[in-house]
Amino acid sequence: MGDTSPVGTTEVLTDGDPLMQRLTLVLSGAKTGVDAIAESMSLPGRDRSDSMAAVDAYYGVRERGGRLRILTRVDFRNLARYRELSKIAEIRHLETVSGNLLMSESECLIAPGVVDIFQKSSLVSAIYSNDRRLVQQSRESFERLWHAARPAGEIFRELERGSPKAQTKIVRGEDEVSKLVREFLARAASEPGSHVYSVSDMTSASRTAEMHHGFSPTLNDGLHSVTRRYLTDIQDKNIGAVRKLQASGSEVRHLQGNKIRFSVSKDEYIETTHAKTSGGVPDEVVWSSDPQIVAQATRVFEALWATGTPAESRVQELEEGTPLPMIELIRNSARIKDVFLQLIGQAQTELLVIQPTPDAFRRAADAGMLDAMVRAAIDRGVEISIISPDSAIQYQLRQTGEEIEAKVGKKLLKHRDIPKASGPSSVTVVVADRRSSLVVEQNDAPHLDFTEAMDVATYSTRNSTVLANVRFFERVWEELELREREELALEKERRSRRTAELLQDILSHDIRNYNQIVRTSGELLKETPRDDEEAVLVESILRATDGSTSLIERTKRLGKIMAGDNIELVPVDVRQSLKRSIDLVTRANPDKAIEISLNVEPGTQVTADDLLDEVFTNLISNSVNYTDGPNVRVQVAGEEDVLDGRKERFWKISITDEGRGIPDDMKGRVFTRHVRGASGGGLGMSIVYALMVERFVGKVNVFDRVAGDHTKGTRVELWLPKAR
Amino acid sequence: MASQGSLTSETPQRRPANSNAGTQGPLLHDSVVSEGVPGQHGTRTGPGNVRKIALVDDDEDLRRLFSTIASHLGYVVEFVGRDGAGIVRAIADRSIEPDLILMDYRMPRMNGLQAAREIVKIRPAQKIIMVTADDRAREEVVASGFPFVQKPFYIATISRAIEDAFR
Repeated sequence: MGDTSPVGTTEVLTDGDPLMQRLTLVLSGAKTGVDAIAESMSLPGRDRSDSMAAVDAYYGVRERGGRLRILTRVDFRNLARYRELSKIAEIRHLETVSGNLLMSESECLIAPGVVDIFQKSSLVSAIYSNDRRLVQQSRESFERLWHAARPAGEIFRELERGSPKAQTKIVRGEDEVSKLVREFLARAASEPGSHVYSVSDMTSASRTAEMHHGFSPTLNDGLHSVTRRYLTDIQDKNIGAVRKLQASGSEVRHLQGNKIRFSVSKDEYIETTHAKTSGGVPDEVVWSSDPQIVAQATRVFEALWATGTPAESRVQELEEGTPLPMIELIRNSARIKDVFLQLIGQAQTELLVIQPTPDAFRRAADAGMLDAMVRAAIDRGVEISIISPDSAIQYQLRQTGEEIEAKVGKKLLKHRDIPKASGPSSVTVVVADRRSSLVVEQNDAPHLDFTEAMDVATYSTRNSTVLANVRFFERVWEELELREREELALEKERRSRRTAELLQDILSHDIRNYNQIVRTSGELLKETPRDDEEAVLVESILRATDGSTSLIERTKRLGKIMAGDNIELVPVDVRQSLKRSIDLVTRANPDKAIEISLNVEPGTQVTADDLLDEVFTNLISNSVNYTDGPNVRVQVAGEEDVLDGRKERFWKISITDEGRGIPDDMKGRVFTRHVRGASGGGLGMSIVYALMVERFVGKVNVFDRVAGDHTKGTRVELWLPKAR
Repeated sequence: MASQGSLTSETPQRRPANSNAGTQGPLLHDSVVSEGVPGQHGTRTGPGNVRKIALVDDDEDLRRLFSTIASHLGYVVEFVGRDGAGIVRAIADRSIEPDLILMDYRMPRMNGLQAAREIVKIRPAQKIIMVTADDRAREEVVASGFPFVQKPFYIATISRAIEDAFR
C-alpha cells in the first residue's frame, strides 16, 4: 500500500469514511487552490446533507482566497447546480469528460467512473497520491484540457435559450410539467418491452410515484407491459408510496441517502431540478431526448440499481425497527475495537466468536472481550460459542465459563479448540444475534496490542453477509466437533488397545511361567519315567506345553497383524516353510496316516515373513482335520503365475486334499470368522485371509478338487508375490 | 524358537531331581540354602572348586524347579530369593558370593534388572543371567547387556546359557 520513498505516497482507498476524511484533508490543505475534473461529479452545494466537512472544506478554499476551477460537461441536468457553483468557482465545459480528478498544488484524488465525490455512499474507491510526479502529470493534463474547454457561461446561455441541437429543454409550471410527464409515460407505454427507470430522493418519492401512476390512471394498463424500476431512499414516511408502486407492478429498491432525481425511458430523460424540492408536482423539470444524455442516465441508473436493497427487506426492517443493513469497511483501529466490543456488549441472544490464534485471543481479552462476554451471558443470558486455539486460553476460557455458570446456573459459554496451525489464518470473526457481524483482519505479531494489530475490518448488518459469516462459523465449528469426536473415538480405541495389550502381556507372561513349570517338570520326569506309559504321558505334556507356548507367540503376532503394526516383509523359502508346517501337523496327529506330497522347487522364494508358516499350518491342518478316516492325502504344488492387474510375478501354491470338501454356499464365507461347521471357531481361515491378503498382499481362493463335486475334496490356491 | 535340547546330552553327570538338599521344602523366603558339596555336585569345575549359583524368582514352583535344574547341572545353589531387594542385600552384606545369578525380571519391590544393576555396582564382575517371560521387558533387558533367556526355556537352553556365562 504505502510507498515510503521521498517522492511521496500513493494509496488506494476503498471505503467511504477514510475517503471522505482524505478528501477533506486535501481540500483544507490546499494553499493556492483546487482544480477538479468531473465526469459525473455532482459538485458540492451547501444544501447537501452528505459529507458536510468536505463541502465546508471546499468552500473554505475560496474563503481563504484560493482559486476553484471545475472542468465538466454542463448540460440541463446540472445547469442549475453549476450556475450556483459558478458564483464561487470558475467552470469550463468540455463535451467529453472522462474520470474524476480533484487536486491541490501538492495532492490529488482520482476516482473512476460514475461517482459523486462529495457523497460518501457513492464514492467507493479512489486513488490518493502526494507523489510529486503523479501530481505534476495530473496538473499537466488538467491544464491542457482547461485550455481546450469553453467557459461555462456560454453553455449556460445556450441552454437557457434552448439549443435545437441539444433536443433538450427546461419545462416550467406545474401544468406544463404534468403534461410533459403524461406524454413521457404515454410514449413509453406505446412501445411494449420498453422501460421507465426512476430514481428519487425520499421527499420526492411520492411525487415521482404519482408521475408514474397518478397523473393518468388510464395509462396504467399500457404501462403494465413496461419494465418499471424505481429506486429511492425508503423511509417511514414514503412506505405508502412504495407499496402503491409495488402494487402497480413496479420493482422498487432502496438506496440509502439518495439525492438524485430523474426518470429515463428508452428515448427520453426527465430530471426534477433543484429549483423546487418541496412536495407536490414539480414546477420545473429538464427534459431531453439527447441520446448521449439518455444513455448516460441509463448507465447511472443501472449502476445505482445494482447497489440497491430490495424494498421488501427495507420495509421489513423499518417496520421491525431494525437498523439499516449495511456493510462498512473499517480501517480505523480504534473504531474496530469499538465495534468489536459493541457487538459483544449489545448481543441479546447469541454470540459466535472466532479468535484464530493465541495472540488474537490475548489481545481481545486484554481489550475487554472476556469481561464483555461475562456481562452478556450473566446480564442478558447470551449464549456464547467461541472457537480459539488451545493452551493458556483454555484456562482463561474455563474460568470465564465457570464464572458464568456459577452466576446463571447453566452453561452459556461453549468452546472448541482450533488445533495449532490449522485455524482460519488471522481473521477474527464476531457474529451477534445473527444480525450483525465483524470480520477483522489483523497483524498477528505477538508484541502488538489490539489497536496496533488491527488492519482492516468489515462490519455488516446486511443479511447475506452476516449469514455467510454464520455459515462459516458453523462449518468450522462442525468440523472441529467432528475432529473432536474422532479424536475421542481414537483415544478410546488407543486406550482399549493399550488395555488389551496389557492384558495380553500379563496373560502371556503368566502362561509362559506356568509353561515353564510344566515343561521343566516334564523334562525332569522324562529322565526317569516309571514305565512306558508314563513316558508317553510325559511326551504329551511336553508337546502340549510347547503347543501352548507357540500359541501365545502366534496370538501375539496375529494381534499385531490385526492392529496393522508394520512388520517388514522379507524373502521366505516356501519349501522350507511348508516342510516346517507339514512336520508340525504330522507330529500333532500321530493317530493319522498322513501322506503329503511336496512338489515345490527348492529355493522358491516369496515376499512374506515367518508367519507364512501360520498360513500353511492352518491349511494343512484343515486338510487333515476335514478328511474322515485315518488316511490323509494332501498334495502341495507350486508354480509361477501372474495376477490380473498386477505387475509383479507370483508363486501360486496349491494345497489339495481329498477331504469332505466345502459346500458351495460356504465357500464365500469360509474366510469369515466363526463360520458354522468349522472347528476351532473358524479362526484359522480368517487368519489365513488376513495374512495372505492384508499382510503379504497376495491372494487366496478356495476350489473343489473335482470341479462341481465338493465332496471330493478341496483345493486352496495361494498367490504370493515372488521375492526379487 | 529355541531348539529342544536333551538334558542327557547336555549334562553327563547329574543327580535325581529330589537329591539336592537345597530344594527340599517350599522356598518361600530368601534363603542361603547350600554351601555345596565338592565332589558331589560340582563335577564341571573339578573337586574343590564347585560353582555357586543364586536363583531369584517370585514364583515358588519356579524357584524349586530352577534349584533342581541347577543341582542337576552340577552347581551348588547358594541362594534362593523371591525379589530383587533380597539378593542385593545379601550381596551387599557379603552373606553370599555366587559365581552366577539367575535373575527373573518381573518381581515385587525391586525388579530383576534394577537388582542386577545394583549388584554389579557392588561386585562389578558378578555374572548374571536375566530370565523373563515379560515381552515388555525384553527390549530393556536386551539393551542392558546382561545375558538373557526367554521363558519358558528348555533345560538345555538354560544349561547352555550358564555354560556360556562361565566361558
